[in-house]
Amino acid sequence: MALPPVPEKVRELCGDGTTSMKEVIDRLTVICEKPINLIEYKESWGALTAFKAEFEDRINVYFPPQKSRHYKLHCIYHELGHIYLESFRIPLALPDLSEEMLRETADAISVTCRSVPNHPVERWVEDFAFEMSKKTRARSSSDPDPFLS
Amino acid sequence: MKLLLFALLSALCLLRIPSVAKVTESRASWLASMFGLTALYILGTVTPLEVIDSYLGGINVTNLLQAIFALLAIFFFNDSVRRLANVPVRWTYYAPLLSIPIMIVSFALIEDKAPTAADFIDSRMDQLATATYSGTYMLALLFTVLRIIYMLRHKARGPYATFSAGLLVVAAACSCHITYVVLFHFSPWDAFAQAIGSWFDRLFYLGLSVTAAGWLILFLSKQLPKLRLWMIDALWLTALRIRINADQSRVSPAWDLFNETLENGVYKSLIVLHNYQRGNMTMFPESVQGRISQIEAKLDAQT
Repeated sequence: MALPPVPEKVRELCGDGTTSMKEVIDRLTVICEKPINLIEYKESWGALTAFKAEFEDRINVYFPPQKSRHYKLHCIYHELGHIYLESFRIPLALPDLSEEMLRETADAISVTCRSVPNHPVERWVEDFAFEMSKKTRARSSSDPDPFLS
Repeated sequence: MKLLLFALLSALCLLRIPSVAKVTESRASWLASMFGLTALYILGTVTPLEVIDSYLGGINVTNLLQAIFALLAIFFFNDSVRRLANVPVRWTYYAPLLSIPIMIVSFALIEDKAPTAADFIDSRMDQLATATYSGTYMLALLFTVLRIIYMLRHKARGPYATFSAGLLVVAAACSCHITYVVLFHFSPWDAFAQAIGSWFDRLFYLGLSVTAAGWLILFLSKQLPKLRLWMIDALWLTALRIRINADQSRVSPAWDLFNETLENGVYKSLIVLHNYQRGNMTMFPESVQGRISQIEAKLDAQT
């Protein structure tokens, strides 16, 4: 499973320089041809940090209320990374429940699962979230000065 | 003046090692300072010229090497300015490098190259090969320096004014040397030519020293406030990550500290610590949590 380099894909999505979450969501909406909704979900989250659910006509990103703005944005970017990565249609051994599994467990009260720790996809989307944080935190231009950096 | 320039470039090279590892864009300018240092070293600034040249056959190959290294230093400096000014690469970008083979061939054609001498060029200026070698070197330098000044024109009033000022002096030095070569070789006014040529050393090293000093002052004025702002927090967060085993690898916290800018390293540590709290469904003691919140507020204020 060869995943594309994160900085290259981030540049393709947002170009050089700075960006905002709204811009990223707008571009992903065009790529996925579905609206993306961010939903703050106040129920019990346990150890989960955020998740996304794709429906026929939309994609919802759920995240818990957080005191830390940075962490909240990071968790959302992580899920947006999943959406972006899936848009490449690379055959991935995703740590997700397949459609068959979802159908099978549709009536379940709860579902637990275990995936391979430190999965490459999770590492990719986490790197994506870090890259996005750099692009959204930068005040003017994310291009470092070749003499002063 | 050569020693001053050597000291300035050494400081720049050493202080910028961490950023060279992290920031791709800073590598060309760092290479420029490294090539500049090497050129000055070969010139006998630290080790006597005779000693260095004796390892290379005692036929003034050091002169050729320092010329090539100086040209490469200016070339990589030019590349950084090109990035700074967002100028696309054209064929003229590589043109100065074409002078290197011409310099090598004309140097090889100089007769009686021994013994090692600081005035190797002046004492052999009556030879066409020397005039070609020295003239080509200076033309390539002048071309590159003028292009740097041209690319810096929009930034010259800003923090890079010292670059433009210093390089203008370097351009004047190169022009003096080219005039000297032309007049000495192709006119009867040898004494006049030598008088003009004698200005080269003074102007050249003065101009480069002004540029390097401006660069060092700019660098320090930008980096010191950042270090003051983030260093303690970055070290504290890294230590916390290591102490509580927040990462799968014990190397990760130290790697992030080295591999990222301080601000990005602080951000990464904060995320790792939040992940740790979530994953283990735990909360840090109030004092630790308070400090993390303070650092986040600081990060917010910077955004």
